[in-house]
Amino acid sequence: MKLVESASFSYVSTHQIGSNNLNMAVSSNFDGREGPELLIPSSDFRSLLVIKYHGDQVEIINEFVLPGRLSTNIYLENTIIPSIWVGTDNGLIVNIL
Amino acid sequence: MKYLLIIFLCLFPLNFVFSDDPSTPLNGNLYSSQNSPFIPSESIIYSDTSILEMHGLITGNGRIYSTLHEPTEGIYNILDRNVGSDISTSEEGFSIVLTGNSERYRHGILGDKNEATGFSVVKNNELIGQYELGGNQVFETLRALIADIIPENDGDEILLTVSDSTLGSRIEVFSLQGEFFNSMYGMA
Repeated sequence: MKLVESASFSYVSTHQIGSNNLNMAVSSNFDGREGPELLIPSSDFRSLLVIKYHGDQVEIINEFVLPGRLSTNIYLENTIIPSIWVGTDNGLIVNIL
Repeated sequence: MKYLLIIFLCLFPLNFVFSDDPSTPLNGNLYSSQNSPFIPSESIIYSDTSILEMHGLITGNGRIYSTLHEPTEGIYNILDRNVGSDISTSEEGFSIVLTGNSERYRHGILGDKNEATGFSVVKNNELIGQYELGGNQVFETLRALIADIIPENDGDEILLTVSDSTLGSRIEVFSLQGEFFNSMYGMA
């Protein structure tokens, strides 16, 4: 077995240096089709990107501009009506549906 | 001072000496299966954090989560558990505990200079696997990821980020018995 990079995408980050928060991204099969998607912050932590992989291609499905810098983990509420919760550095809460 | 520490340990179970992150998935993996598909498509901004309580969520220490983790059995035999790290647990009952409290590579990227240098695998209160890094290497993470990424190998594997003061960082894959499988270099 060998780990081989199949696709890559820049300008995103899941961790801020000096922080012990390692949960600033989530992965799930949001669209119910083949393969998982990734919800991940932009490198400045001011946007959240929904990214899908197609073989060696990477597609941005959606982008959410946050009202501040992401300052919490990304919480995926996996209920009957799933949604995503995050907090920003100016004390705001964002619910993504 | 010694007596104060003893009193503290008597008042609180050993689990609470370590600062587990309640937002960390039990298997350490950020993948989550969905009850029903949805494509994130709109956002609503709230200025009052009480909206989280209305959804049964808790906030604290910069985290949003729903419940605290139940204490994991079997860690009491791990005397050198890494302070501040999380225990990852698989559906089959394997628990991965990061061990060692070293400052031999003081990059401090995770908030302090105390880094794990090994891991132990516990199942049914028994130690079934161990691994220890050499040289100036440390585990640059606060939890192990558990996933079945080698189909030809029975069961899950352990994924950990290793940081080396000379070689940089890489992802390494181990068996649940603590056997090194492979690594991927080229990380920043």
